Amino acid sequence: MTRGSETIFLVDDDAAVLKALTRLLNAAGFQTRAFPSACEFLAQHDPECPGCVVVDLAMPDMSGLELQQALQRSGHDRPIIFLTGRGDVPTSVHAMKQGALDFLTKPVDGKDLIAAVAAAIERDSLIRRERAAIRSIEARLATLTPRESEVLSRVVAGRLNKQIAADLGTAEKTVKVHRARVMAKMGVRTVADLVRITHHAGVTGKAR
Amino acid sequence: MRQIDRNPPHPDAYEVGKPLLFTHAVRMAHALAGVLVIGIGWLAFTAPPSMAAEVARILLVGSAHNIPAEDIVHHRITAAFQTDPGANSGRAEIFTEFLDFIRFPGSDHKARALTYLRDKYAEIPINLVFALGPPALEFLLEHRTTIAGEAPLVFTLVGEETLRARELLFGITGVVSRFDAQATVDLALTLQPRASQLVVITGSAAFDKNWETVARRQLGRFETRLTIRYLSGLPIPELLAELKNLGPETIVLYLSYFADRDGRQYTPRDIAHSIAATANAPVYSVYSSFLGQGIVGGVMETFEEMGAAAARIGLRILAGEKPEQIGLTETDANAVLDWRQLQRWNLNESRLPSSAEIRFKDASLWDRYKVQVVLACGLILLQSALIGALLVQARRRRFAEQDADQQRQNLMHLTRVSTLGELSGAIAHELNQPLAAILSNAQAAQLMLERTPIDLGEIRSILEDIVHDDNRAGNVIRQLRGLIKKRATKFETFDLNIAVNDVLNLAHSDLVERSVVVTTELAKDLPVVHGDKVQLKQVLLNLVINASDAMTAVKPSARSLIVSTGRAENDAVRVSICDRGVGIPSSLMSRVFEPFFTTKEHGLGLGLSICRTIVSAHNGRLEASNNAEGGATFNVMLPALKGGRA
Repeated sequence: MTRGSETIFLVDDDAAVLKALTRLLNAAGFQTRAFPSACEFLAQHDPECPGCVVVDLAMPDMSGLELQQALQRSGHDRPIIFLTGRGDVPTSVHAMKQGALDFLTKPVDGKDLIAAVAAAIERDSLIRRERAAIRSIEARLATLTPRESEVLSRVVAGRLNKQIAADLGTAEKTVKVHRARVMAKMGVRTVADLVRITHHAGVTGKAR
Repeated sequence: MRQIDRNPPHPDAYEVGKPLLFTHAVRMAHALAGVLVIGIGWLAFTAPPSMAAEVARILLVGSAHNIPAEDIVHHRITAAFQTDPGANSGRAEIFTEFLDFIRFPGSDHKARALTYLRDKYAEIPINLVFALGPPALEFLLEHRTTIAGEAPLVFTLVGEETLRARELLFGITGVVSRFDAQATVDLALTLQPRASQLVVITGSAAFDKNWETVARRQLGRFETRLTIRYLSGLPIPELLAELKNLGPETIVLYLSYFADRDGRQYTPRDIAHSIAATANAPVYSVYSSFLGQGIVGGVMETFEEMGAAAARIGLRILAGEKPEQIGLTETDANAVLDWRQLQRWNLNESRLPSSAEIRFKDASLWDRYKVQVVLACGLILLQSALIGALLVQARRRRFAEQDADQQRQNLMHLTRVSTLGELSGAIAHELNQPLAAILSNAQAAQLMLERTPIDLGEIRSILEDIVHDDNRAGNVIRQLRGLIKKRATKFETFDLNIAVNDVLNLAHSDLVERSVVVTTELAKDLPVVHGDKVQLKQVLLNLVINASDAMTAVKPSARSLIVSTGRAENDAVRVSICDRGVGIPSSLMSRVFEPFFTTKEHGLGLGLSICRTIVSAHNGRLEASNNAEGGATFNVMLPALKGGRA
């Protein structure tokens, strides 16, 4: 059973556990990379590589939560599954609030882990797809002229052509032309679509 | 004591009737001249005797001066008159004279003595005369009136052989003794029923020869039963040589020995001693004065009774009775035996008549040393009581110590369990890790088995890891059980480094969770120590937890714990637990080891107190100090086992 190119990053200070988890996930068809500490993981982290992290919560030097925070700070967030020796509720709540995907208690059942890992990978690829989509929207936005951007922001804000012309001090006809060009550049046919993708990319009614 | 009437004396016996006790005088006779001189000198310096009619004047005439028998009798008579107030209004004057006819047997001396006594008492009206022993009796029978006028005569220390065939004149009476050789041989035969020989010892003096004659007559009736040998007048060396080689079943009867045939004079009592010491058969006699000299005993009268009986007669006469009315008094003879000699000759005491008197019995220890025995017993009792009390006290103390020890053990156990309770989460995690590894490994293997081809090498490797992890989990449980189990102190030899690692492994998860970074600096070649491993681990665990507690107020990145081992002064091994916590305020430094002293919100404050108790019980020391760079260090010093290497 072989899966995609995603890599599971395993981080645990206990060598025996690390080795066993590696074996289990490999047997389940995942690619893995094992790290004995959070620091080593962070040092070798490749944000571009798709996949998720399975990390032990309690480790010397740097704990699982600290690793999570470090990833968030660097902007290379990726799904994290926490493993813990004890079902510590406050810690798990904290981890989940920080975006932990799952929180499994050791000894963890293989099926649960595999399911969690699969979900995490799914999530990761979703995130990556979304990120790619946003990047393409942004790329398209970048092709707009300043005047077209001004028109776009006002269209998205729901203003009429006549109002936009008044705002910009041009003729309504000119506004229409700009608007058609924006629609074309952004690859949408309706104003609703335009609003959706610009919203997704974080473009608000304000002109950039 | 019985009154007897004398039959008319037998004519044959007349020659034999020589004074028996006469012989006793020999030994002391040499002192006579001096005594007389002193006596005369003494009289010259004292007031003349009172002539008052109410005073009884008693003349006591002895045969020889300073013979035991006469001494006893003399003492008895004088004592009776001095203590009996009824006799003569409490007043009696006693004059004592000792004739010394044994040493001076010639008629010249007799004449001299008569003149002397006649002149001496010419002016003194004598009321009563006592004659002690046959020589005195014989002399007074003849010369009483010359010396003492019509004063009645009372004799004693006289055997019936002396009186045999002697007509007792008017105004004379006395005490007759038997000195019974026949009864003594009967007694000897009772004790030695299988005896076949009788040896009779006498000397060569006239008195001795008389005794031999009397003995030959008295003992004739034993001739059918016993071979009788008379050893008469043998020189002492010959006699003793003879006595060394007697037959096994022999009775020795020693009667008297004043002189050997060469005229050498002896004291019969000394000879009794020599004979008894030398003879290889029991020696008997008729004289109680020989008792204690080594003779077995005999049928004897006591000299005390002879004196007392004579005194009683004298008192009756002074009270007005006539000597003829009183008649003769015979003393009772009784079997008297020396218990020590019975033991020496292995003679059966139970054969003796019940009336027999046994002297010198060991049981008399009580009589002889009553005070000492009572004191000694008292002391022993006191001592025993004291020892008993001390034992009881020691026992109580031992129980109390055991109790205290038990309490200490309980407390140690309690604190140990409570410490482990604090660590329970971490310990569960420690146990969880291998379990997690085992589960994942096993499930990986399951997945691998669903695939083809099966990677057997990998599966083998997985199984090896499972075994390893299982051991690891088992080890955690063993450690835990060792610490939790209630147990008696058990000393063993072990390496402190291993104990340190065990403790750090147990606390590992807890330390990780508290973000404490542990550094160990364990000395190689550390000498082993001898102690209770569990208790010392408890100490280390406690110190480690204390150290990590002390660092909760410090930012996580600064939480550092250094555990080091090494050698210390005086052949000691040291374990140091050094933290970077808040340290110990100097005002509390002296109190950290006190029981129930704690700075923690939870906890009894017993941990360090018990740690110090444990270390002290190992002859070690537990000390605390603050570090210059912050935090505190606890040092455990334990004596190293000589020559032991970890």
